[in-house]
Amino acid sequence: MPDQTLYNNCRSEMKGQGNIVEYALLVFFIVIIIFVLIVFITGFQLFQIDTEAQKQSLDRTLSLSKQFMVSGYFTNKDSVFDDAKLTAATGLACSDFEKTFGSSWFLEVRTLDNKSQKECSMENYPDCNYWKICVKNNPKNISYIFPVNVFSKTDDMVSLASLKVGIYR
Amino acid sequence: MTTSLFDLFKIIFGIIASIMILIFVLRYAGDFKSFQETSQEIKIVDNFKKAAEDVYLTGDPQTFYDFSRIKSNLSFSGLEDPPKIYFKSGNTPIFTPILFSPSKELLITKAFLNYGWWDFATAVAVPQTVIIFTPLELGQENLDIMKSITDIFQSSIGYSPNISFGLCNGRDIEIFSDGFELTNSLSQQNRFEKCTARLQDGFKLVTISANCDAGFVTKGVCIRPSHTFIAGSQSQYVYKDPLDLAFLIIGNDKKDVFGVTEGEKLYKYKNKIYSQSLFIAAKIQAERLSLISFELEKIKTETEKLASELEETECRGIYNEISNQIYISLSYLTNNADSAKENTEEAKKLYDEIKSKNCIRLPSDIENKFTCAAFGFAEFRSVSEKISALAKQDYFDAVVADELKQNLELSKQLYQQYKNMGCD
Repeated sequence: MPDQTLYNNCRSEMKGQGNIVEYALLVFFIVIIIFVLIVFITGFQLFQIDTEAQKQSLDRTLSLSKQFMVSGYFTNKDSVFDDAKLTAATGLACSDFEKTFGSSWFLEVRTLDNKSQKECSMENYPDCNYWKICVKNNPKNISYIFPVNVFSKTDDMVSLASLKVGIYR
Repeated sequence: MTTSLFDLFKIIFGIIASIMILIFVLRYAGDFKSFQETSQEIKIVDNFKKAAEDVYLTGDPQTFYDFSRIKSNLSFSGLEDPPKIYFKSGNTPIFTPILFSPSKELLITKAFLNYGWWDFATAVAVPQTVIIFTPLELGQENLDIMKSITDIFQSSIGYSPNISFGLCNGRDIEIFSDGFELTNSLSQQNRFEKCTARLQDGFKLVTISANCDAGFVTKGVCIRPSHTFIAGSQSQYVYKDPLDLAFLIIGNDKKDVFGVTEGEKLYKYKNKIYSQSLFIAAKIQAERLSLISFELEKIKTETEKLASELEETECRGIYNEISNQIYISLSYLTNNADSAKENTEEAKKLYDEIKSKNCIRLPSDIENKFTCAAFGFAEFRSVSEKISALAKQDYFDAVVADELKQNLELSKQLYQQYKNMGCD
């Protein structure tokens, strides 16, 4: 009989311990589920932030493109790029433009004339076909390319050109 | 006994675990809510920036009501580099030039100054506003000042919110929907007294008088030809163009915690972006004109080559003479515009002589080049250079502002002549 009592006591204690472990496991799994949910939701938010940042970068690039295409600094009244204005602009410091358009952007214009690329400057104008403003040696960038017209005062001619506008990341 | 201890453990464990989970979830929910609010604020401010930019580029007015969904107050700091819009949880830079008076409901329009060769434009984002004028003298100069201000906001007619105008004479205020009605009403008035009427929210008082001085008015701004004063401020603000006045009026006499008026801040912001933009535009224009003188140099070389190719004929002599005239003209280009003009005119006459003698082999558009050169782009270039030098400063005192104003007027006239001759 005493053996039976001891057995019952032991059994009851073990059952109690088993219940505690059961509870601990239950709580543990609930915490894990909450944690996984939080990680999932946070990850989703971070993904949204990243997507939003990318969208903002693309929006900024488009917005800069729109501004450059009508800016009196580079274009004539009819929004055609002026080769003399572009050449004059290449002589200005990038920091001067950054005060107006913000930082970390670049602009490139290349006339599509089947000739080898020759960068324009005050010295070689008009014997050139490529203008770059605020271009840095940074491959991490996103850009858009648009077809535009460039008017040459010297030849009194309008040529087809590509405008590349981008921002550095 | 074992069972009751276990029950106690279950209760305590359950309470602790529940509290921990609850705290965790509540904190997370709080963070999530604030994150959502912040991202909504950012989106709304971003939409506003896009709307302002669209209006700036296209000139088509837009209404913007989304700020009513933001609980916190917005503010605009134009004097920072870059200018920023502040909201509860952060700030965002704005590069579009803008006259911005934050409010729940806004009308965005475009205002600009046209100098022919250069336009200075700005978006104007303001709530329902009534600009109340009190012209203490009714001279033409004061009427012109009022007209220049009403013209700036003319494109808001027919929108809600909008900018309307009014007249205040002593305790009486009369409101008009546009500048024309205001001008018509002015012709029926004889004299005005200082405005003592109670002004509602959104009313901006503008007193115009030759007697304006610091302390002359207790409300709004006071304009006298070439200078402006803001009530409660000892400073005087030089104005060169109607946009200077528009920024001062919309900012008006509301002060921040440091006692600086909104009018002063907006005025300084306008002149900062104006000078930055003018500097680039004038510099590019000056360099562009120097490229045209380079063109003349090319013609000179070409005529010299033609002359050397030709036998000893009458034509050769004329080509040599053209080349010589252009050479002299080029040497005068930077210092003596009149002499340069004289010599290019002489070259043009010689070109006509070549044509009459049938010995023409120069490019077909050379005549136009002579015409443009003879017009005197050297003067235009020198004015552009002067403007870019003056625009290098952010602040314009009365002397510099006057010089800049004169040069801009001159450049506008020169550009118009230049354009009329088909040189642009």
